[in-house]
Amino acid sequence: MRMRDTRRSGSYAAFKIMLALLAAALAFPLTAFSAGGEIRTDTENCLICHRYPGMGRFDEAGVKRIYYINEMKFANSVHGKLKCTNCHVGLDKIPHTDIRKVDCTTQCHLKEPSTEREFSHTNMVEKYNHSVHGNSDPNNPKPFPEDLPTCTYCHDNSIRSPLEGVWGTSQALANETLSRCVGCHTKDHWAQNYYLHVTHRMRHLRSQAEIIKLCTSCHEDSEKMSRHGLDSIATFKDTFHWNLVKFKVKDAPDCISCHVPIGFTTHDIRPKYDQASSVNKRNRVNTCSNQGGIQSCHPGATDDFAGGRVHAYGTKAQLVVDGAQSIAVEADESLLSERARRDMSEREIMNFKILSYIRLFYKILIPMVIGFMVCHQTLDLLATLRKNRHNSH
Amino acid sequence: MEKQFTIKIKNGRKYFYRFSLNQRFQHIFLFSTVITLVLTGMPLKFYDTRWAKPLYAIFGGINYTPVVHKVAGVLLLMLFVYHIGYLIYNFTVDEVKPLKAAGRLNLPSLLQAIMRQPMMPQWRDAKEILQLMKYLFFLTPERVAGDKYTWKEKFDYWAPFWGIVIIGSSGLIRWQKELFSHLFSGELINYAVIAHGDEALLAALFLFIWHFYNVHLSTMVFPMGTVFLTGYLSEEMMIHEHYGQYVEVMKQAGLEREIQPLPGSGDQHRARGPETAAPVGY
Repeated sequence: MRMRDTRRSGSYAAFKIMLALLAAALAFPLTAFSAGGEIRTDTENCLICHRYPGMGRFDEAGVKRIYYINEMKFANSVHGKLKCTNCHVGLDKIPHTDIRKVDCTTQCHLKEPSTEREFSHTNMVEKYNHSVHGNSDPNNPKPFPEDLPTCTYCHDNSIRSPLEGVWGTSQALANETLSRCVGCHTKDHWAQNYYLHVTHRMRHLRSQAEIIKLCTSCHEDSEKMSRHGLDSIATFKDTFHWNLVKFKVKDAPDCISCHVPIGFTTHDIRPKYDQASSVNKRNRVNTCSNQGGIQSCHPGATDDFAGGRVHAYGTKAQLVVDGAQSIAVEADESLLSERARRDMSEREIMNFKILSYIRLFYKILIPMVIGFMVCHQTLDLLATLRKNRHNSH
Repeated sequence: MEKQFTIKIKNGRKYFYRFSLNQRFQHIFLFSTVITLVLTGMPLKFYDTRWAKPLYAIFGGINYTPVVHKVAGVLLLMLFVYHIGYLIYNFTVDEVKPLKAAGRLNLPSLLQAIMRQPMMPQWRDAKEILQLMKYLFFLTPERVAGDKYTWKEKFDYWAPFWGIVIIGSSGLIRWQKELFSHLFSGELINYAVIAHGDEALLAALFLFIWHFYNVHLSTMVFPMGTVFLTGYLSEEMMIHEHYGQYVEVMKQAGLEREIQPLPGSGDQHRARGPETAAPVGY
C-alpha cells in the first residue's frame, strides 16, 4: 500500500514537471515567474472548450473574435485569481446566448481587505467618468461618445511584468526581496502575486514610446480630434521632448509625464482650463519643476518658463489667424474653430505669428542662399571649363 | 606678431603671405568646433533619418553627445569672445593710437576708421559682384581683379559671425532655459528652438556647399587649398582671386616686370576683349 502511494505521488510529480516544462515552452517570458507557482484549477470547466486555440468566430459586424484562453497567461495576468464568471456575468446557457458585456464595476466576490467588502472598480470608473475622457454630465453630453476610450482601450491586461524592474532592474533583487516574504508566507505563488500587486504600482509598465503610441492612437487622428474640438497631437512630435523619447533618454517626458505627473492619476485627467489639471496655469510650474519632490525635470522653472509653448501650434492657432471664414462650415470643424477662439489668447496668437515669421524667414533665407551658392558654383565651374578650352587653343 | 615675408619663393614659385599664425589658429579652432557641432547637432534636428542614430552613437549616444555638443559650443563662443578682443586690440593699435597721436580722435574719424577695416563691406564689393556676374554669364572674359579681401571672403566672414551670434545665443537659451525664463518670457525658448536649428542648417549648408567648394572642390584648389595651414597663397590663386592685391604686392617688392596679366584681359588688366587675350597657362 505504501509502495503504491509513493509511486502515485512520484508520477504526479513527474506530471507536474512535464506540465511546467510545457508551460515554459508555451509562455517563455513567464517561465521565471511561474516556476514553482501553482496552476489554478479551472473550477468552472470553461477550459473544456476554451482551451482550443482555434476557437473563435466572425461576429455580425465581421470582426474576428477569439475565444481561446491560454490558461498559463490568464493565471499570471492581473485577474488570474478570479473565476471567469466573476466578470462574465450570465453565461448560464451553452451556447452562450445570454452573454453580457463585461462591466468593470461588477463586484467580483473578492474581499477588498481594507473594507472587507466585495471588490469592484467602481471608484476608478466614477473618477474616470468625471475626467476629460468620461461622459458623466447628462446636461452636457459629449459629441461622438463612441470615440471615448473604454477601460479596456488602455488596459489591455497583458500579463504582469516580470519580477524585475522595481528597485533596480535585476530579477535577482526581486528574488532576494521575495525570499524574505516566503519565510512567513509559505505559499510561493501567493507571495509572488502580492509582491507583483504592490510593485505593479511602483513603475511604468509601458515605455515612453508605448505610452505615446497608446495616446496618439486616438489623439493623432486629426479627423477624430477636430470633431471634439481638439488639435491633433502631431504637435507633440515637433518638440524637443519627443526628441528625448526618440533617443530613449531615461525619464524622457512622454504624455503622462506632464498630463499625469506624480500626485495625479491617469483616470482623472482634466481639461487644461480645469484647475485640477496638472497643465492648468496654476499647477504648471509645479508640473515642470517639482513633481511631489520625486521627479524634477526643470528645477528652476518659473511662471514664464511654464508659460512657453510645449506642443507646437496646430490647427487651432491656424484657424484663429486665418479667420474662421476660410474654414469649411462643417459641424465638427465649427466646433474646432469655436474652441480655437476660446483657447487661443491674444498673446498665444502673437507668439504663433512670431514663430511663423521666424520659420518663414528661414524658409526663404535658406533656399535663397543655397540657390545662390549652387548657381554661383555651377557658373564658376562652367567659366573655368570655358577658360581652359580657350587657353588650350 | 611674427615676422613674415610678403612673398616667399620656393622651387621658383611665388607664394604670397595672407594669414598670420594667430588668424590661422583662430580658423582651425573655428572649423574644428563647428564641424563637431554640426556632427553632434544635426542628428537631433533630423532624428528620423537613418544616419542620425549611428552618427549619434559615434559621439557616445544620448548620454555623451549633448555634452560634446555643449563643450564644443562653449569653446566656439570663447573663440568668438577672443576674436572680438582681437579686433578691438588691433583696432586700438592700428587706428585709435595713431589718431590720438595726431590729435584727431573724434567720432567721424573713428567711424571712418571702422569703415576702412578690411572686412567692412564697401561699395567696391557690389561692383565686384556685378563684374563677376558679367564674367559668369559669359558677358566678359575678364575676371574680377579682387583686392586682399574680396566680397567672397567678406561673405565667408560675416556669415559665421552672424551665425555664431544667433546660434550661440539661442543655444545658450536652450541650454539654460530655466535661467533665461527668469529674464525673458517662456516663448523665447520656443523661438530659440527654431532659430537654433534652422540657422544651424543654413550655416552647415553654407559651409559644405559654398566654403567647401571654394577651398576643396574648386578646380583651382582640389583636393585642398593649403593657405589655411601655411598662411601663403600660390601665385595662380593670387591672380585668380586677388589680382588687385597681387599687383600691389609685386610692385612693392620691386618685381614689377614679373607681374602676370589677369587672365582673359589684354597686356594688363585694363585692356579687354577676347581677341587681345594673352594665353596664360595654369
